[in-house]
Amino acid sequence: MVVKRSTRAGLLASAFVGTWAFAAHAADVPAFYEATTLIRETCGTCHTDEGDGKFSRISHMRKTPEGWDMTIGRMIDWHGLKISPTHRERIVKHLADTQGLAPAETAAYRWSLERRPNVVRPAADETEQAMCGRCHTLARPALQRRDADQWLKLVHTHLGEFPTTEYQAQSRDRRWWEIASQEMPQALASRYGLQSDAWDSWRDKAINPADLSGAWSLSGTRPGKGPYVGTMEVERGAKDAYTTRWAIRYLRNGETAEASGDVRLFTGYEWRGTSRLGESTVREVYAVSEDGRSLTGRWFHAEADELGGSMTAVRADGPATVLHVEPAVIKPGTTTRVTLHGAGLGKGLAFGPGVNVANVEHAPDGSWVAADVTTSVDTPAGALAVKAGKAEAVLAVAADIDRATVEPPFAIARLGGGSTPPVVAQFELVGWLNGPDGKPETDDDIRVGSLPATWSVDNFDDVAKEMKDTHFAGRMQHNGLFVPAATGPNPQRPFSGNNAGNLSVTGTAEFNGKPVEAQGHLIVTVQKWIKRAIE
Amino acid sequence: MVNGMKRAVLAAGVAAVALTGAFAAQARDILLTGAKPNLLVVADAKARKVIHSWTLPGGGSPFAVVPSPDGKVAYVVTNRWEQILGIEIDTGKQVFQANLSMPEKNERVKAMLAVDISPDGREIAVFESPVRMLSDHYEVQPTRVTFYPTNGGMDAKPVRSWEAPRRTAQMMYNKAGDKLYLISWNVEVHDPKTGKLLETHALADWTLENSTPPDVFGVWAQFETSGLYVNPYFAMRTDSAPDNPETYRTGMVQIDLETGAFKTTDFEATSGIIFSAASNPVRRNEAYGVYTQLYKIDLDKGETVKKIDLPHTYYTVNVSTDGSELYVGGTMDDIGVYDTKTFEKIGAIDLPSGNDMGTAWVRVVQR
Repeated sequence: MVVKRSTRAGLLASAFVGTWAFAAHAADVPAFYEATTLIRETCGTCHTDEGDGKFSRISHMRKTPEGWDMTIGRMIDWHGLKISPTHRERIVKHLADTQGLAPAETAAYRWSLERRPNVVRPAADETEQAMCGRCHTLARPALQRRDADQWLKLVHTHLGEFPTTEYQAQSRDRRWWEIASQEMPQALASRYGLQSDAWDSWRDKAINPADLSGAWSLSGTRPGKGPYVGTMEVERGAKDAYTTRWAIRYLRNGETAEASGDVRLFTGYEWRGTSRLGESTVREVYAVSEDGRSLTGRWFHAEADELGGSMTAVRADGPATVLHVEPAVIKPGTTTRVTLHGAGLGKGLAFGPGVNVANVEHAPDGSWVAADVTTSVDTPAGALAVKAGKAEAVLAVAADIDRATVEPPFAIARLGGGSTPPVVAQFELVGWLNGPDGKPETDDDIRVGSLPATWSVDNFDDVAKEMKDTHFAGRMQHNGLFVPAATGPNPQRPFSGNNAGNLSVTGTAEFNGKPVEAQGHLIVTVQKWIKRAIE
Repeated sequence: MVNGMKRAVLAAGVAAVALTGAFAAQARDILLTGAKPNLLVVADAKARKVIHSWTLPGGGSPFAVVPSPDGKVAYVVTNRWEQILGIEIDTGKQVFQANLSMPEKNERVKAMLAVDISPDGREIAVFESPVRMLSDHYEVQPTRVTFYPTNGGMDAKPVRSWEAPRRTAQMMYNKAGDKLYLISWNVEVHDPKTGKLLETHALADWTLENSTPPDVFGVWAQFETSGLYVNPYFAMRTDSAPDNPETYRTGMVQIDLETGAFKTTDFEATSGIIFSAASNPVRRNEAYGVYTQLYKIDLDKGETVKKIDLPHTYYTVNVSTDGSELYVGGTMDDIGVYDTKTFEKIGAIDLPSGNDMGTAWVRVVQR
């Protein structure tokens, strides 16, 4: 136990972001150190004490844990703040708990916190797109809350630190400073103002969260490896601190991995964990439900956040819940062994009229139930409504799938070079049924999950062909993982250009013996010089 | 006696003429540029050789390089654009320093791209972007043009300053030294002694029919051999479909620094990117544009007359005093030398140790 603890501490000590740095230091925090005293001592040289535990600037905004941690990072980088990881974490925790964002306020922007790659979302309007969106994602302004006076101060910070801002494209074509300082503060305050009903009704729960300890059942998909299921034991430590042991099994090839980790809960629902999963260190960004009985989110590799898996977990002792159905699609007129994964499973399995269910088996802990499911040739193609006790799920029936798509349809990979690691792109081939209306890309389409596929890339257009992009930009691996080349200048390319490329991506699979194919688009471009927790 | 005197004076005169002639014959083009880490690089253009790499104090990398009119001192904007350093070209000796920031006002001040020296060599005009750094917030201040005397020594203090349009990207004196051109959304002409706005030439506010306002953003000063400032612009026709290549127009802004004549010339449907431009001191209708390609543009006819691919991206192009050679630079560690007539590559000047020029200006002086 002692050895394990020190290994974990060593791992975490290398983490540079305070949000992740907690576990190694949490036990060292002197109990008497009240957070406001710490803020006064750490920040009070510059931030005026306004009384009642309030400080100028700091107390007039709300942010996510990542947002607060980035703020402290800026104070270190720009203003020479000296702060220990312990104190950094303590301040982030206090501010995220007392001046955080409610679940309803982050719900539309989980993709940002979860660092999902290749997500494109439009800004609120053209002005926000030009003023914020040309450098940031929409989540950057949306995941912080201020009134107009504080948004204005942020505008001053921008130009104060980055004076070239007003010279860049989409700045120099307009009176940038006038728009930034006169229009944007009010526009942002009306969208992302300090006060909100959502926060007012959440703020008590933020400091009095549910106890998350116990057994959990989990499931998710790791692009490149497919769906997985598993279990997790959560043990409570100090307040809002947990340790976890979890294990997953990939359904496609049976590969298993075990993990153990440390978790800190922020704002009453923001699960931030660091685990050793197999040979990798992974971060966990999950949102816990208000009743503390389920969570959703994504885990990703600490050194390559574009790689990771989705995660849904429910309490193992909870009511019947289906997290995953394997396989996702069966053929009419066949008998197929179908397994439902989740929690509280085992009783009352039904697949609808005309479908026979036999040889039902279930796990003693209720984490799965399996049965031989027989359909007739007349079973219509579409979605079967599956019932497992009170839980409901969907199983697709189809002789053929109607179409496939590549996910993501448009991806960006980044060349690596020097101390800057590459950003890879992971593709998946997803099968679809067109649903009752028989039309593709409508609301009734049925997603039948990712298909094991083979992958290739080609030059996207004539320019790419002439530039031999497929030769220079990198290599597509067998599991849909594109690994970009090292950066340039490359004397073998025109103008000694770097190894950028414009590629089409093709995923090919077989379904019931018939080939299925779909295309995506991949841009391979310059290094990702700056990486932020919220881009 | 009188005759003797006459002869002596005559002889002295002849000798003086001969000396001047000899001097003129020996005058050569010297290139001045910057490179990382904080180097002032001095090269003999015709010899294709770097003759000095002076290390500047401070941890920055140089951007703007402004030669004194006598070609003896280079004023370099460096150290996070917060200092102007004057360096003797022949010796590397630092003879001037202006720290732009003003700690007494809590003001951090950056030189934003535009800087020039008066034709009499007495003053440096720099475009500044100041911000007050207060205890818990920043306060952006109006941008301004500020003048430093070149005899200010190692702690030069400003002698004049006035508010100037934000996003000013280039600034230059006219030949007579009584006008200061500021290239911003529009071109403002200031009296460098009083700050009086003498005239405005429209760019963003231009009223050219069926065209968007032009995007003008070359930030490299390279007009010293021709006295004709040229800078590319990009605009779109509003009476033509977006899928029509003719919709996208490249043109050249021109300011004759001798006569003050201001002109814009559309010369092509945009066929490539041009980062910066310079014009020929002998054939003044001829301008050159540079990025991955080298352009020759006939300003009278308004057309691209020649275009070649370059080995890699270059940001700057300057022209020899006799109009025969082009020097392309500003990126990586080499200055390419091209014949202005044929565009044949006739030489290269490699920077020692592969030092990256990192967007630094390349200036031409005669010594």
